[in-house]
Amino acid sequence: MELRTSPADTPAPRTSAPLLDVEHARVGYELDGRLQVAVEDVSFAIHPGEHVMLLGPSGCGKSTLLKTIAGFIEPAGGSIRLNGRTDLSPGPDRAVVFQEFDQLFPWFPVERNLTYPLRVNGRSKADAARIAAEYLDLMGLSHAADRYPHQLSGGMKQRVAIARAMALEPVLLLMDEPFGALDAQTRSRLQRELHEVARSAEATILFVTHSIQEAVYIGHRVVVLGTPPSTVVEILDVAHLSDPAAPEFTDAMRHLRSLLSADDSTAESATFE
Amino acid sequence: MQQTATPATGPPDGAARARPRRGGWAALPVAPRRAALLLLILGVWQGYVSLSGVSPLLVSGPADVAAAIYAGIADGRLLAATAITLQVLLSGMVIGMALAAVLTTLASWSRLGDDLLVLLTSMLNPLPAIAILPLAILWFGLSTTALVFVITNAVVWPIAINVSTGFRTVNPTIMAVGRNIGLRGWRIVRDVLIPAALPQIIAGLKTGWAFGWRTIIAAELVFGAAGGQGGLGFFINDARYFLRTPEVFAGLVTIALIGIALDLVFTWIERRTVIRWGMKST
Amino acid sequence: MIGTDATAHRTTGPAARRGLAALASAVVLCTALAACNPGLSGRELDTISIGYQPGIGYAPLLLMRQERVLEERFPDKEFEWRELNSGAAIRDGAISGEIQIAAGGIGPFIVGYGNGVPWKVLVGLDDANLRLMSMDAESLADLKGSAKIAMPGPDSIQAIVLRKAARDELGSAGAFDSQMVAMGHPDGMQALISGQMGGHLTAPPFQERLTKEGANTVVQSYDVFGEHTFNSVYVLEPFYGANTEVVHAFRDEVADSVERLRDDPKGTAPELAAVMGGGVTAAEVEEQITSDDISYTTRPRGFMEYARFMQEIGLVEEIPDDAGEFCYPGPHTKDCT
Repeated sequence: MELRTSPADTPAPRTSAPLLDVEHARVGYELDGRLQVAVEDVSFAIHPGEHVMLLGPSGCGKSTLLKTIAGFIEPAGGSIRLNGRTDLSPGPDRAVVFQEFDQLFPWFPVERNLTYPLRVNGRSKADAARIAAEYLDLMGLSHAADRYPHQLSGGMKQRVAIARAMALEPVLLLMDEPFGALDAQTRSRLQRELHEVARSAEATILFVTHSIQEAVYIGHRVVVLGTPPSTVVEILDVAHLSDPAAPEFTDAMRHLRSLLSADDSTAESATFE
Repeated sequence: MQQTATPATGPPDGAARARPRRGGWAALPVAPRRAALLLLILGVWQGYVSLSGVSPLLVSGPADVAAAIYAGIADGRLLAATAITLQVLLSGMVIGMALAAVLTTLASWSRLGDDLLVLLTSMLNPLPAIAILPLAILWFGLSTTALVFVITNAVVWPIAINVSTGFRTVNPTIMAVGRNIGLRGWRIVRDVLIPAALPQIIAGLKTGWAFGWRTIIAAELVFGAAGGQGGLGFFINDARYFLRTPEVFAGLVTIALIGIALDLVFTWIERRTVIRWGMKST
Repeated sequence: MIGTDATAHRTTGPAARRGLAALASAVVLCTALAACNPGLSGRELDTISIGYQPGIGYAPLLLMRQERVLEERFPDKEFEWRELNSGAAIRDGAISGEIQIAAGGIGPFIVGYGNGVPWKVLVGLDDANLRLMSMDAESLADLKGSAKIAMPGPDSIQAIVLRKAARDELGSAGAFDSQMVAMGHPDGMQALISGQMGGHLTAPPFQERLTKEGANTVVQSYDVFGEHTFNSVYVLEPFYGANTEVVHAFRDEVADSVERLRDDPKGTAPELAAVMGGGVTAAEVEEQITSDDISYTTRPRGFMEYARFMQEIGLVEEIPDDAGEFCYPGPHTKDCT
């Protein structure tokens, strides 16, 4: 077996301190005044420049965990530290790309969708315009700068959303199944683009997905969650895998699939390795 | 095959839905069609008045009405009456909008405010505003205050209902984006919540103006005062008292024209905002 | 109509048929609005409507209504008595043919006459001194400002009295135009007592009642126009021509009632009390009809005075040269002024 796996607690093979440190976090959401625990106990770390994928069956709490890190939800237990800080109210240092197409401001043309958040965060008009142009170009959107969001296709909207989030130059880019609602063709094209852009921009990304292929393709490491209330099943290093045609890539996918299909017995999955 | 099977979820261009085209009338563009119809109606109206021998005290022809409108504009009486009506309407609208803003703010802040708004709107919205005129006269006398009170009541509920529905149904993702990019407090309300709820806000204002417009004319007619300080309702009443039937018609035509103009203003605003942004289909 | 429609069906397509139907409904509408109303047609009618207003100014008609004298004289005809709230409403009824015999004040009559309503005075009902009452104002100048002044309508005889008084005393006929409020007498009286109105230009018996409530007289119409008719009976010319017998009988009965009201108020009061209803007693009615401010008389007078003033201030354009043109010839209208 070529696969290198590491338990959650062991530091990543990096020398720098973790950017995000999730320790025994317990997260959930309020439903009818009661806390629905989605994630029982999860620990992992993200170092600068890393692309960490949260993979798990639907309902495993991966999106809830991401929203907690984004600051929309208070953690119910454990700790989440961003550069050592635990006060995590929502902010542009953790820019989010959502799954929904209607995350753009419909009343702004594409360009203003990028410049407005920059202006809110204190950039000068000229700076904002320059940065927006740069990221629009990076995402291949320069020709659509003057269009309104409703004039764009779903794939274009997600590109704008990614450009908007990246333009904010967040310390951690949070992506909540951004390609989940796209058709297969557009999806694989955007995956490719993100793969390129994210590597060249050296962005640090936490990416939620339920697609095994996406996880292996984009990620450096894949954090696999079990069924809710979930725990970490395994953390898989896939940093060296970027060619979907390579046999190692297929092996990693098969391994992840087997982890996910053994879904309702997390204990069993944990002892799998 | 593929093209005709375009699902309904596609862009609402309507391009796929071929409109059945007929020759002749239906082939003409909208503007000449409406103009021709208007001319036809005016022709039938004038013809009826000229040929039927109906008493000019009962029905005035379009020519007489046009002359009455011209005279009313020339001597300033029609314009003054219109200005007074619009002024009262505007006062009522401004107060109504402010009240609606306060009520919807309370409703989005607290459960109690929300319950209060729901209770008040369900009680007072179905009540034709003109029905409270007798009470308004009792409280405020035969004054402009009574009129403004009635207009305020006519406009506040439709606006409040629409705006609070708009706020409540704002897409949560867009609000999350607002917070995520660092907006807080008043700024997120001004820059995200209000634009996102704009279709309903405009709809509320549109309904409010329409209600207010109808109510003020009705109120002025019921008010039944005479003299120089009256609005369009008084203008019509006065003309009727002195058997100046063309002026009665002139007043009615003015009311209709202003109603149309108000509607056009809102359509124009919608074109430039929510329709342009794809938040409301045409 | 049904026949035409059936023919059309056989010979023409659906579009043409729709056109015909539209035309037919247009014709129906026209007929309903046009001069085809029987009340305006100049034919002899079986049902005759009489329009009047509340108050003892119409006492001769109330007496006739109560005693059913017309019904006795014309058993084949029906008489409808309709109490309306303003002279303008009665005039509108007359124009549309709903009312054939109209009773009312001088103002709405002259406005109608001047605008081509083909009507004239048949007989007078009474003269009355109309008063502008106020709780606090002593003179017209005191009332100038924001206080409202109630009266039956901007075209009513009361409104014309106020305008003439305003012109004579303050120099401008329109001085109170923005303060005038149209209200029926009972509402106006309430409003004055409750303090909502600064003034109320009214008629007997309301002005007597207001005097008892402590109101004082600011203006009286006899000072402004001299003694003049208050209410009269007006009849449209086509109706007069085709129903002369009924019209003359009506006139004679009015004259008879007027005479009895004047000569025997005690005897007529109980009957009036009965028809007026509302718990008013015969003694109260007697007091009202014997008031110094009202006298029952059939002779129309003062019409020209009013007409000339109304023309002067632009309320009407056309007025006759001679008061005789206002009145139908007859025993009571010989000295029509």
